[in-house]
Amino acid sequence: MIKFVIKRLLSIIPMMLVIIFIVFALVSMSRVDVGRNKLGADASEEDVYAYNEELGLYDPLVVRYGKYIAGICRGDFGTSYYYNEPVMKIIMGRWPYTIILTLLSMGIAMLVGISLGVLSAVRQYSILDRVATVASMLLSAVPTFCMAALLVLLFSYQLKLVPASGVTNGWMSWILPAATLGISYSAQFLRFTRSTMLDTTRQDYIRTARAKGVAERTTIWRHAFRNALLPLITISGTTMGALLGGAVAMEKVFVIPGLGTLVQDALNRNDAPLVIGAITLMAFTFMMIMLVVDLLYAAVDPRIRAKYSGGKGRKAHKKEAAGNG
Amino acid sequence: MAEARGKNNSAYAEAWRRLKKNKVAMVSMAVIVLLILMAVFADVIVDYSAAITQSAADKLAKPSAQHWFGCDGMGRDLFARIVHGSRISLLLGFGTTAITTVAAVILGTAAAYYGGRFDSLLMRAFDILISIPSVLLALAIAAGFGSGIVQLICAIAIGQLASFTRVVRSAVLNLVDQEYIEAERALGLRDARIILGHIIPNAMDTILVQATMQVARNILMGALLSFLGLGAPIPTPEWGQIASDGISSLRYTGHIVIFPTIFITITALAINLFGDGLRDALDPRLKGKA
Amino acid sequence: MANERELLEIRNLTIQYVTEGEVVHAVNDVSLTIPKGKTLGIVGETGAGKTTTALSILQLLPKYTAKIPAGEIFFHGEDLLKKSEAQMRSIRGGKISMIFQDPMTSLNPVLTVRDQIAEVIRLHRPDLKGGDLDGEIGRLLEMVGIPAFRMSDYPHQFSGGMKQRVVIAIAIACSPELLIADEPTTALDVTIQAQVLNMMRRLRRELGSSMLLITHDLGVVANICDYVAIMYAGEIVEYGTVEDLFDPARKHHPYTEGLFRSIPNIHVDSRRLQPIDGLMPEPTDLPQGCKFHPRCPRCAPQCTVPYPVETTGPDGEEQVTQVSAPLWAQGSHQIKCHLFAEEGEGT
Repeated sequence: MIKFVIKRLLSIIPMMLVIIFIVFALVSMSRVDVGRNKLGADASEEDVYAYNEELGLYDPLVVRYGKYIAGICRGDFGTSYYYNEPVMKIIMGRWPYTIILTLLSMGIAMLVGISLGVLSAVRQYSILDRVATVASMLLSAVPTFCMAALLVLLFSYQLKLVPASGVTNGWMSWILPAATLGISYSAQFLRFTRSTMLDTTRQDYIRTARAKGVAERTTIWRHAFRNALLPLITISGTTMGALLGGAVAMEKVFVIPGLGTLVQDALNRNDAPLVIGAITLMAFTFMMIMLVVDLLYAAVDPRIRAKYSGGKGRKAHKKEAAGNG
Repeated sequence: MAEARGKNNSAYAEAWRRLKKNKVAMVSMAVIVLLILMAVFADVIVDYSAAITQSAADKLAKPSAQHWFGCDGMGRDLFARIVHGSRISLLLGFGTTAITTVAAVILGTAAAYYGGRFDSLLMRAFDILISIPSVLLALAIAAGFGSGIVQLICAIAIGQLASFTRVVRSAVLNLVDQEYIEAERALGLRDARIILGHIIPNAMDTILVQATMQVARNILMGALLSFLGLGAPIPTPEWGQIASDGISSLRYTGHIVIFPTIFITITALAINLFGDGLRDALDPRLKGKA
Repeated sequence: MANERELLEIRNLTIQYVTEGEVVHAVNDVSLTIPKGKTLGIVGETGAGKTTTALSILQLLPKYTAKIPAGEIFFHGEDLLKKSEAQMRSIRGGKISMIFQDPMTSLNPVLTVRDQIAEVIRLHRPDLKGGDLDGEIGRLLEMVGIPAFRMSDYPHQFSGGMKQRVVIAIAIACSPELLIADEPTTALDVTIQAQVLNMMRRLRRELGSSMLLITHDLGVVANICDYVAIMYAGEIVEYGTVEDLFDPARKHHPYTEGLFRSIPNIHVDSRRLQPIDGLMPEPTDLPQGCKFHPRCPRCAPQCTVPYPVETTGPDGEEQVTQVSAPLWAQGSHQIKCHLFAEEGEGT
């Protein structure tokens, strides 16, 4: 198992290199003259040229990429054009806000979505099931930022319960952003949990459990839900990626000084090092989440665990994987 | 699907009959058609100049007989902006989906049918692409190429390409394993004929349903990216952009956000519901599954 | 009340599945008895209602769609259909347990074999704990021919035959009085089938349980069962001891005869097997009268209409009910067919 974790961790390195290259190459396509921007319209051609030359902007893309990677290895993510400070330092100041928002919303999304999804599946065709299904349909059709705006309108401006923006009001300021993002993404969890649970509760081993005299509640949680967890864990990983994107929008609506607003500001200021650094860090976070997802998967499913440890379960699993196409 | 040898016209006629019985799907289809008509005949409905003419007197005006949906922060008529905004919003939804679908079908079919190195290389590349959240990818594209409609379409299309290709690939992979395809290969039929004559028609159900759902997703993604400032240049109206403008004046009035939100939601909802109906009609066995 | 000699007695059981305006008549007016320590085999084609009958004993029918408009199921003289869900839970896996058809899907893939056996023991034999529990699980596994050390393995580490042995170990864990086996060997390789069947016969004898064996394999029935019920379109068309059924010289329902003609027989020299013509009727649209008449080579006009019988209602009043065909009976042997009824009741 430890061997697997190390192997999986090492596999992140080449993937990160490619991702950084993609982001680096895309951002480098910009035709913006960095030196001119910095020094102003009055600066001489020579000064601008010298400035750009010093930044290495006239080097070929591959050379610049190489230098950038070499810098990362030393812990240097470059210097922001706008702030004239190390990118890492700026990012680290903004990082916690994004993490708090993402984790809070993810928690809400999973809690609401999964519990309602299980309930809907167990009580299929009940009023709760119908209401939950309609609500999730509706929720997944409203853009998150529009929903945020409507909730601000209602709870901040009409009812004056929570602040409309900023992070200066302690936990109160997190309620609306986290709830909006969480509830918006709970729709996905709800529908997915419901269909997976409907599937697992129809499996033969559920009938076996009932035939043993196992109580309904135990059948649902110990037998059906534990099997539904596997696809749920997978979907959690990808949803987390989408949620990270949604968090960028939430930061803009609620004026939260996280990575999302940082990237947007950097984008408007043509601050390439900051854009690349922030996107790289978010992509890295997402990859680490996917790693955790893989590990969780192995923890829940003995077949996967056996595959990782190269145990006797290998053959059986392979057969099944082939069956799943 | 074992006995299905390419959906012929009667199979689609049968699916259409089933679809016609589905009230929700038919209402959704009517809504979609109305929205498309609105986009096509936008100039007939209301003059484009109304959508971009600013008027200090009508700033943040509430809905009235003169301005049905009120006016935005610059005094532009919201109804005109929404009607004309539908063009770009629907283009983002349908146009982007068309691009993604064609690319995904070509790549997915090739990967599944020929397999081997091309397949594994493509899948590895998509593994990486998928691990960049699409909003971030769009931001990176905007950083390199600036913001605009073309960039926006590219960003959305690339962001969705990987997952769509995977869907097509697995659908085709299931078909390639079927015995009648093997039999045709054994008979020496040309690859192009097998692919165009048998594989694509059989995978069409999956592709159609997936594409329909994709339209809704792309409209939402387009709105989100417009909100982040990556969309059409000012003053071109677009639903996400209009809502975004409304957020800055939320303190004074909500109607600038509410109207575009209603339109985006109805569009996405109608497309999703139609997609559900389409899936049930094409493959009744899937009914009830999400 | 029910006869004390009988462990299980099903009386006039009718089961329907109601979905979206369609009514599937799965089981129609079925009566059965299983004496203590004996094995009853139910034979029939797919869709004849065998599994539905078995699931109804444990009250494991699909909650929303299955309806039981009539009938009683007496177990130890008590009607199982009148028991609460909690009462049924204490019976399931304890006094009555079930072996399912497909061992590949009958075990929970994420729990060890030990956990899955322990679950049923904890529920019905709560006094067994810790080391004793593990000892008992090991003993059960050894009984079904699996080494005890494999108890910490997961289902995917076992072959199909081994999985079915685990399912059997779960079923016998609490020494049930009635063991229901729903086509326990259908999904297994032929070579494994014999092993598993022999093991089941041995275990049944050791535990002294009664057994309800569902199968479509007449060979299995001849091997294991004491009594046989032939089921067709939700009805029992013939019932008797194995000797009654397997003696070609005795009277048989035309469907039973058809069944026997459609399997190879080494004692009869025939050039080819004779399948029964036609298909079983749709359970949503059963024919009037005898359900078999559209396929019956000896069909007569009276077979196509319901048969009225006089019965005594619960309040002692005479009443006329319609059944599909008259019942002929001789000792333990019963046949539901017009052919024999005309010869007089139980000559």
